[in-house]
Amino acid sequence: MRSVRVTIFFSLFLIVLFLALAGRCFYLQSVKAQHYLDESLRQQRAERSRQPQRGPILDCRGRVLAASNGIQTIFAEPRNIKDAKETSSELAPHIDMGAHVICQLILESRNPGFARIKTTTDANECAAASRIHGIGTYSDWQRHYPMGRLVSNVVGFTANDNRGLEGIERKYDTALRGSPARNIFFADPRRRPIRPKEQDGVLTNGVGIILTIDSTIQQFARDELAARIAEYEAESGVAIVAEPQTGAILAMVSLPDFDPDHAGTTDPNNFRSRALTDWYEPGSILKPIVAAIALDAGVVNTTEKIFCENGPYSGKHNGKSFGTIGEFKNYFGDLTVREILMNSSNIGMAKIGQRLDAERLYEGLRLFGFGEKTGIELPGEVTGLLRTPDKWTSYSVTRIPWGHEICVTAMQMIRAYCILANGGRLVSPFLVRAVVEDDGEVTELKQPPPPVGYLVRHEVAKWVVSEALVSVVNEGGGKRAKLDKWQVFGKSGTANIAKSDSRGYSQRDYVSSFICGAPAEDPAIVVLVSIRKPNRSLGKHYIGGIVSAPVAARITERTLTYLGVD
Amino acid sequence: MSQFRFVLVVFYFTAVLIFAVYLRGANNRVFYELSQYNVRQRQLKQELVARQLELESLINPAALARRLDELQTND
Repeated sequence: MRSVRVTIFFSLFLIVLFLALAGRCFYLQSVKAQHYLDESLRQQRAERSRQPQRGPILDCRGRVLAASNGIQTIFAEPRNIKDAKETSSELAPHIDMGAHVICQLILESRNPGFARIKTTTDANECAAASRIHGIGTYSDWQRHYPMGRLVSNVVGFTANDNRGLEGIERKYDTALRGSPARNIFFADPRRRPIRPKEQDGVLTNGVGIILTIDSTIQQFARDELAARIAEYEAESGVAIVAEPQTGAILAMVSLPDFDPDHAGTTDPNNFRSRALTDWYEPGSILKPIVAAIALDAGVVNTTEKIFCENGPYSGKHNGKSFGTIGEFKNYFGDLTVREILMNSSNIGMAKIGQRLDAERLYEGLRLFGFGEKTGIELPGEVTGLLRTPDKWTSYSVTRIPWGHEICVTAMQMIRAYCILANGGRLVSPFLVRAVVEDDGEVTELKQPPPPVGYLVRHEVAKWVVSEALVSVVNEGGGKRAKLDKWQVFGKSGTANIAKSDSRGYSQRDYVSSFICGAPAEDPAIVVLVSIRKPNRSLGKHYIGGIVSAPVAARITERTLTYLGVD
Repeated sequence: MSQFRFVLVVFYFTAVLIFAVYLRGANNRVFYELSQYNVRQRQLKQELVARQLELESLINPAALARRLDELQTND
């Protein structure tokens, strides 16, 4: 009887025990399932986020203008360090730093989870450091600009988080940046990855950008411009070298510039590429463009003489007075178009403008690309200012032909001269030659197709370049741009800067420009130099033919020699 | 089944199980080594890029012009 009771009791005990076990199983499997699943995954899984390498930016000869390189940061986690002195002493011999310096960094860190100790590229240092309790490492990318200031206004720079903030870095930020990935592994108890589990995203490094800029030509232009700006204590300056047949920009200098490695401490005004963001009244360098428009329209021919008044010119256009127009220095009588350009006669150009009239003058300038962006691949480009004829005053048609009442950018000017130099065909300036993948495969060739069609008749463009503009250099105001080896064509311009606080022009502040090209018979390059506000109190000259022409000539000479042009 | 056959089957199954465990361990080990080599390869590549950048900063036109200026000044 007793044994039966013991059996029943034991059976009941077993049943209760199994019920309790079943209940516990149920509790673990359903109620706490997620919790333990998460816990087990946390123990088993190891994650690694991989940031893509930002693509490089190269010049047209493959020289590195910007590139990213991996760096390791050794850091301490102060909240996990019991004895900062001991940890520092342990770490110091591995990373070649004083223990007291490390100790100070740990103790003075405001963030209890992070104190940066050292940035290094040495993997052995990192491996040794990461074995010490409370010390960790992480990898990141650092952007390098080996050429420093040389191309800073074109290439731009990135922020600490690898975001492009200026120049090509900004314009092509998305493509240069690439896309990150996250790898998840099964890890052993020592956190070593033993099997891949899943991957979130595909790691794609950023594409590479090849520019049309040639850093050697850029160096020539920067050297010459910087020396001239220093000599004349000018406010700023721009120099551009372009290939007239294609519109490729070989050099684009904007001074003052900045050091991209220390962009954080630079005046933000220096970040911009002045050739695109600053507009100004071009002055006389616009005259050949208007002359070409007039010759092409047939309102004037190359042999006809235009009376330039032998004195100031005043009168009416369409019944309204256009005020009085003077010359820069001397007054002239009868001049041909070539002589008007050679002597840079304002009155001659005003009369050509009157013959063209507002509509044709406006349409011609629009065709040459004034009043609209050139579309070059840099941020911040402005359109310049070319008002529609309905907004023109009675002065406009006699002022615009000699470069007043119109504002242009240096890039628009260089495009217009490229059109003249290549025989009248439309070209668009461009900076990016190609986009290449991480493995070197060219994915996008950015060079625009060869230009078709003529903006002005070929013979007109040819005549303006090889007759009129050559005579400017040989006999006119561009003599300082003359070269022994090559026949240079060019035009100088000196434009007053409008006052910012009242009406009218400043009589002290000028933009001195010179634009030229060579060889005149088949131009290989076109060069523009504009220097803003040369210091007149130095007692030196301020006109474009003296301030800027020698700079443009030296850039032309060095570039043609470098390119091997005969 | 004779006792000998039984022992053989048990031995065979045990050996297969041990071999499977070994293979799994080897797989994990090889994957770990592969990951290490990948990391090493990346490090070497980065070192190469660092050297290339160092070289670029020495031979680029701006640096050469600066060096020439220094030489001329010293002369």
